Amino acid sequence: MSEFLKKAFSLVFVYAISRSAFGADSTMVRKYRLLPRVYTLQYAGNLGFLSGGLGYSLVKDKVRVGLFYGYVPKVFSTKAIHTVALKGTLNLFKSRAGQDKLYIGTTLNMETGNNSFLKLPDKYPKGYYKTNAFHLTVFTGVKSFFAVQERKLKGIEPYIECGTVDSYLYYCISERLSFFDILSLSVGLNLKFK
Amino acid sequence: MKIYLKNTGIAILLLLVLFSCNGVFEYSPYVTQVKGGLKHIITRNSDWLHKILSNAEGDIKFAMISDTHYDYIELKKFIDHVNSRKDITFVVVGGDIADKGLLKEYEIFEDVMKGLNKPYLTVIGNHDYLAGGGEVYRQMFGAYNYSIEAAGKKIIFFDDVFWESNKRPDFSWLENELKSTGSKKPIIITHIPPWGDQFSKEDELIYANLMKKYKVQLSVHGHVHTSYHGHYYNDETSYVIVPSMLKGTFYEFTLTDNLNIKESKLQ
Repeated sequence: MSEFLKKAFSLVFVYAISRSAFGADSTMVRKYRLLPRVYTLQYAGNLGFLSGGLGYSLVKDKVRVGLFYGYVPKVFSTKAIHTVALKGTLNLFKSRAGQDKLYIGTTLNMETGNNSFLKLPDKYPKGYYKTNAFHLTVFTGVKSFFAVQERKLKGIEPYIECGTVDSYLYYCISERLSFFDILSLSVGLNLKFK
Repeated sequence: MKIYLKNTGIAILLLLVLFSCNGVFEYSPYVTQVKGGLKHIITRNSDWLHKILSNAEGDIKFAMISDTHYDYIELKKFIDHVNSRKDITFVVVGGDIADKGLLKEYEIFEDVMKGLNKPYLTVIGNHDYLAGGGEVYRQMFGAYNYSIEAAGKKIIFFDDVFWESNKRPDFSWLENELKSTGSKKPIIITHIPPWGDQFSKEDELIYANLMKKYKVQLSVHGHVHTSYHGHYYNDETSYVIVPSMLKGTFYEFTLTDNLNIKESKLQ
């Protein structure tokens, strides 16, 4: 399952990047309007050691949604971890010049293969466990836009995010743990295309 | 352009500082790599216990809790209570230390247990095997099956999880361990009682017969979340089920010849 998703995702990723890089003239732009315009590379953030994403910017760039694939190599865990995730962000404030933005966001992560399952295996009685392949994360972040004078590339946007996972947050609140125990950081780079 | 360079410089500096911090970046909830300082807890604690036992006088008593899941508030209450009890030598946790088998849950558990001023030993539960939990447990605590000696008794910790571990319990290991007990009377601690949901009728019989054959004095479990104490199979072995941590209850076992078993409630 995850193997298939991995392949499908990398195909779409390569295709989309090649379209943006080489399909330069304006008619092409119109023709491929549905192609993702935001390409992201992220480090950490419970999406993987490294994750890549394709995204759309909506509502005058106030909202971003993207599909991510993340990978944790074996050296950081006993078994490699593949994560597929949907990520959405919403801008809250921006600086006066408009380059720096503060936003909140969430991801829905899916991982199967490390004794985590979408559907309860048959050996268990009905309702023994709920699926443990999904996790929600919530985070807040800041990003700064740097314009690039390039035909297709509008600009680059480094960002830093601070967030946590649903279960951790639940334990933190219900068992009165310290927030510092559950928060973690991630950094990334958005490439924004025209 | 100058200002961009300045900004980037600050950003890079900030990143370098952040990268040097440990545990600031998390790759996935399913990561199974345990940090160095949290490894081999069973080995460390049994060495500690051995030292305590070699100087101990009088009866040895241990307290047992089970199915702590994420009930850290109750766990802290228990630790406070046991810390003030001079008569309790060590603590046993009967499995289901984690709820979803996540590294973070194990880390929080360990962080809370650090407050305990006595050694503790654990046995693996079914929830501990979820996600990458089996691997986390192995790194953090150690072997799934092991035994210790205390006050002339052999206490055997036995992994009897069937489903989540994707394997059968190692009954031949258990039998060998019982065979080599000698004059010491054995006590067995496992997570799932033999009449529990994961045992088939045949497996239940294997376990109960082993207890009978080797005259096991006591077989202690968790998993069911409700308390039980009695001779379940009407033989010499008495069976105890330690309820879940959430119930605020624990058991006290005094390692005398006849074993003194008492259920206590936290205030």
